[in-house]
Amino acid sequence: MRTPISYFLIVSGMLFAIGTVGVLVRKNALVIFMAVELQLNAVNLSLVAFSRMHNNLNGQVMAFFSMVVAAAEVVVGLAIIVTIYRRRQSASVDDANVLRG
Amino acid sequence: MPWLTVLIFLPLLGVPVLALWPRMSDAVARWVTLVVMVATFIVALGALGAFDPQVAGYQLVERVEWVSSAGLAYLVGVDGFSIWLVVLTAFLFPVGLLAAWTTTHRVRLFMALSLLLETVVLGSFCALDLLLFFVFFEALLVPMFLIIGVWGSGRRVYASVKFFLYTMFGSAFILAATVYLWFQTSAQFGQGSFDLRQMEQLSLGVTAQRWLFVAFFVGFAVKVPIFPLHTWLPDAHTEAPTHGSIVLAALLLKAGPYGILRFNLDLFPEASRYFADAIAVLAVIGIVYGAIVAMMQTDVKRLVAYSSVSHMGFVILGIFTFTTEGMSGAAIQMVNHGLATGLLFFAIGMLYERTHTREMDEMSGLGQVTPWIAGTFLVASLSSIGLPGLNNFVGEFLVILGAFGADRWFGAFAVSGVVLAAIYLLWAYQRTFHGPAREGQRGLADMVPREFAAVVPVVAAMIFIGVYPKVVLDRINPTSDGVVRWVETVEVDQPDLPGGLRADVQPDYAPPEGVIAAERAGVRGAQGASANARAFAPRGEGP
Amino acid sequence: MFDLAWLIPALPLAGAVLNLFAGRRLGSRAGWVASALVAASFAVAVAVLIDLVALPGEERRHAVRLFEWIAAGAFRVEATILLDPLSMTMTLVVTGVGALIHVYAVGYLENDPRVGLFFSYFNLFVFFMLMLVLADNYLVLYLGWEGVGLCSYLLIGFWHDRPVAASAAKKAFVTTRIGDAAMMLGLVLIFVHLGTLDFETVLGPEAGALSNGAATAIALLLLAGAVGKSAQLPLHVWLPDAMEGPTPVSALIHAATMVTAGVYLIVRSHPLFEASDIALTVVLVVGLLSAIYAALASIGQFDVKRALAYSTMSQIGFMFFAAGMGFYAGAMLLLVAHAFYKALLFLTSGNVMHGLHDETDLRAMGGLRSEMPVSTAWFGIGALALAGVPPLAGFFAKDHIVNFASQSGRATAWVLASIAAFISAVYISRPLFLVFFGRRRTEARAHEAPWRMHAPLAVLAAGAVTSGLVLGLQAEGGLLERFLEPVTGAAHGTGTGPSEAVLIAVSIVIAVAGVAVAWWIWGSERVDWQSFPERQPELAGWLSNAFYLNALYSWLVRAPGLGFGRGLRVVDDRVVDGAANELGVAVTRSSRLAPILQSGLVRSYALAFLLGAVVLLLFMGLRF
Repeated sequence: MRTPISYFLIVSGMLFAIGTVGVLVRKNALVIFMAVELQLNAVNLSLVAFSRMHNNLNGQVMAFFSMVVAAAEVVVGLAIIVTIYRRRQSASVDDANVLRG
Repeated sequence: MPWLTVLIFLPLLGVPVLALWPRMSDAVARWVTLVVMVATFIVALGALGAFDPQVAGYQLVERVEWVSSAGLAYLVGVDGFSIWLVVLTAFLFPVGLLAAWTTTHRVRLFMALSLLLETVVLGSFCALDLLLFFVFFEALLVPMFLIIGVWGSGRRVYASVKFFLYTMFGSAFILAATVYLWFQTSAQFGQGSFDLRQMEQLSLGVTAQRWLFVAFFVGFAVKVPIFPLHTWLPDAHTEAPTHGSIVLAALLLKAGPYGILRFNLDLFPEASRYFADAIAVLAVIGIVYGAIVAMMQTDVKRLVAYSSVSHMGFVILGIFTFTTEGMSGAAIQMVNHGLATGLLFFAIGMLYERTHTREMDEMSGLGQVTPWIAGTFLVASLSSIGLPGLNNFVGEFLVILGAFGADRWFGAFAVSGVVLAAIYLLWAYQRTFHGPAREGQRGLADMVPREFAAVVPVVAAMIFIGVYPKVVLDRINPTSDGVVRWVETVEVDQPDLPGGLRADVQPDYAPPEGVIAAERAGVRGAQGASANARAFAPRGEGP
Repeated sequence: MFDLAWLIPALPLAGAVLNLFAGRRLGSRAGWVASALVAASFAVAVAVLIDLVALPGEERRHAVRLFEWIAAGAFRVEATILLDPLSMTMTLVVTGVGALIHVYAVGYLENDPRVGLFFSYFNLFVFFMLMLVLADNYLVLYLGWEGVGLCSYLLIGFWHDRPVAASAAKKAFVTTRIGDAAMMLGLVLIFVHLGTLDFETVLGPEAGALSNGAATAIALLLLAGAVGKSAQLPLHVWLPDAMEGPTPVSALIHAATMVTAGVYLIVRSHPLFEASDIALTVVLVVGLLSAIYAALASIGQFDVKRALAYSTMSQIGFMFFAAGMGFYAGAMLLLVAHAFYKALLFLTSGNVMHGLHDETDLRAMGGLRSEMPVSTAWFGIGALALAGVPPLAGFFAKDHIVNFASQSGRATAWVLASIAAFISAVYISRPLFLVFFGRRRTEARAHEAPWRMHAPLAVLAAGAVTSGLVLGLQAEGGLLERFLEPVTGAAHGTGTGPSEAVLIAVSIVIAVAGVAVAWWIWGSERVDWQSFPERQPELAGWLSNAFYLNALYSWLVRAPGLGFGRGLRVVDDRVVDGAANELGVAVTRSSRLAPILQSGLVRSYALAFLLGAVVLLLFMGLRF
């Protein structure tokens, strides 16, 4: 018996909600970053689930794409965060507000 | 040989060389740029040689599919109008470079931008795909913005931002109209496309056509510039370095009338007829207004900038006469204005380099000190004034001839621009070069070989076009004939349908048989008189 | 020889190019090169003339096609040289008198460092003048027309370090340009109505087919061009100022050739003028008014060259007058004769200036005949020729014109022309007596000019003496009249009015009386002319300022024009540009509101993002 699609979607939705709250409430850039990763993986999960439901591989391929992009993003993002930390001795996103209009 | 592609991208090849070559000295950078530009000019001559003067349509067309599902393609080609602008571009860039030879500030960057600019200018004159054109047309701004902003003088930042904003403002309308047209092709042909040749086949309702015409026109009118959208021009011209002024006046301004010729007339013939009189009035106002304001300037560069407003008025007037004479006159006038104004700015650049001022009140009697510079300025002025035997006369006379055929008053007012041009240019010449020489300016050096190398070819070209314009006109005439016939005969008489669509998809744009036959038969003399009477029949009463 | 006709303009052009680039290297030889080329051009013209005369009268029209110049649509113009009696007459005058003045200029400009440039311009002028007269269509004529204007500009302003000369040059160019612009419109109108600019068609039978209105418009526009170039009322103000140029320039351009181009244009275009019912009358009136006006103004001048300039204007007025009566051959005869004696007068006054270190004021001369006997003779011949004393050239030329007025039944015109002729005799004898006779009024020592400046003068003097006799002696109409007949047609009087003998007697009396009056006032020392301005300040002012027309134009055009220009410049800066700048300022101000949203806090952006996504999702959810 196949696990119903709704199970996967509920887990995915929960993960996404956790990630979203993490992005919104945490100050530390690294934690926010991890929360973003959580969101991405939540979406990956639902992609794979849909892929299984429709019996084709498009969704899984898409998931691979987003993993690759996420990896690239991590590289750039971490580099930026580390640079900011070196400059300001803080990883709090609220301190990095030089773009305020 | 893919002439146009080679032509367009040859200058671009120089950019990585300049950017990546480690520790290139300024002198080498200059020579590399010059070699690339001269090579481009040679390719342009090759393209001219491959161009068949008998053919009215697009030639040397190259097409490469890009995103076929969206109908995007790399599509270039030239006709009788654009081939000369292409040659002019390739001709004037080396001249401009020689004017910038003495630049010492960030030379490699300057040279790279200059090459980039050449690619972009050539591209916008060759593109037949609307989106490709738009990309080139917009990309003109970036290098020009930097050239004015970094190497300019005085209020360069103000001038460059103003230039940028004005032009961007105009092109926003063009983009919107382009996208609308794409949706129309998609709806009518089942396949969206930016191909100009396909868009010509669209059947657009009267209202839609007129709105689209206005959108394109505003975009191009800023570039021309047409009164009252001209005020960016004096600032940009004045603050730009000499090289920038030459390129701006001689080439970038041509993108405006060229765009109108290429897109407005081709795509919206009915709307072109509808707006012709209003635009001709604006053009005539520009001719007179630009001349009078030019007369009152004390800064010689500003004066020449305003004279461009006046002269470009002639070009626009010629286009909207819808006679072969006026259209050919406008097309050759674009080339002529490029040469004459380019040379004027070159001469002013030479003066500025020596006297460090552009104020005519601070110069005097330079005719004795620097006779060759004075001669250069004089020849360029005389050409601008429209002296027969020099290039501008050919265009101006044909434009006035055409304007007279369209409406006598346009011709009569346009002629007053000829008188005013004599006043402001000769007055400027007198204030600058005549009278006793100033104490501090006695020892100035006259032209050096580098400057002769730039001036002599331009003067030669001006005299050549003035004496034997046949070479140029022979290639322009079939195209202007075609455009005039197209504009005059396409009928849009159906009422508007929702979405600007017309019921019948295939427009009947073939002119009635009789017209062509009469035109072919009427060569000269007695027969010519009848064909001629038709050519000067009032607009809108076509057979 | 016809095939070599292109050499006629090409030789001076070659000289111009050569002298422009190699003038400095040629040094003092530049002038000889230039003169030789113009003389060679004259020789070719003579050879062509011989061939032309060999043809029977009606076939004396040969067009040499060079190349197609401008073609677009129905418009087509070719560069073609036309050889016919009229163009050959002009060509011979231009190259012949031109060569003589070139030779004179070699001596006159001996010490000028820019002599190469001068002769380059001078040759260029001859080239353009030849293009003007040899053109076979109006556009090539216009090329020459504008070209001579350019050379006139360059040569008036040749000593351009003097601001007066520079201003005069600009004034000459701009004033004539007003006429030229009108003329350009005339050409356009010709094309609109006749579909071509070729003389053969335009001046053929088709000219008669023009409607009266069209013909009038065309003729008057062409006349405007002619009036500007020939310094007739009301566009004459540039000519007196043009005397700032070197004297050979005044002689060649502003006396012998360029200023008579207007006459040539009218004579050449006479079928167009005749197709209109009023155009010729306008020509007549303009000519007559100019003749009288300028004659009076000449009397008021104390600058010898300005006096001669007004005299030129007056003489051209006579030519216009003749053309206006349809007496084209008469106009051409006066043109030829005038070229000889006016060039002679100018060059002789150049001798005087040369001898007196550039003095031009008549009040500072006097009694020079003892030191400059040869020049006195030249000036005397020229002045008497102009005054119309028989048998010199002016007598035949002017006499024919004035008499024709009577014979064609224009009694009023005849009276006015006779008055003008009388004033002419007075004004031209005045400098003769003031310069060469009477008391010395200067300390300066004068010296006679060298021989090579006299040699060309001798030839010109011979022309001034004999050209009338040779070309104009009336047997069956003069020689020139018969030669020109294929082009101009014959002019016939109606045979009314006094008989020919009476008319001739009257004009001889007028000429002699004029000279006598001038001698009594300025030559006999019996009249205190020097204090005349104090005694009659108003009349003297009107005369010396040429009835204040120049000042009137200044007042009417210059100040309002500049004011309007300044106003428009302010409008451009404040209104047109101001609106754009204000728009920019407004956008900047309104953008101050934006920073409220731009907190720089990533988390608030993320929240906004989330809310936006939720709203979108809700919206889409509700729609389905």
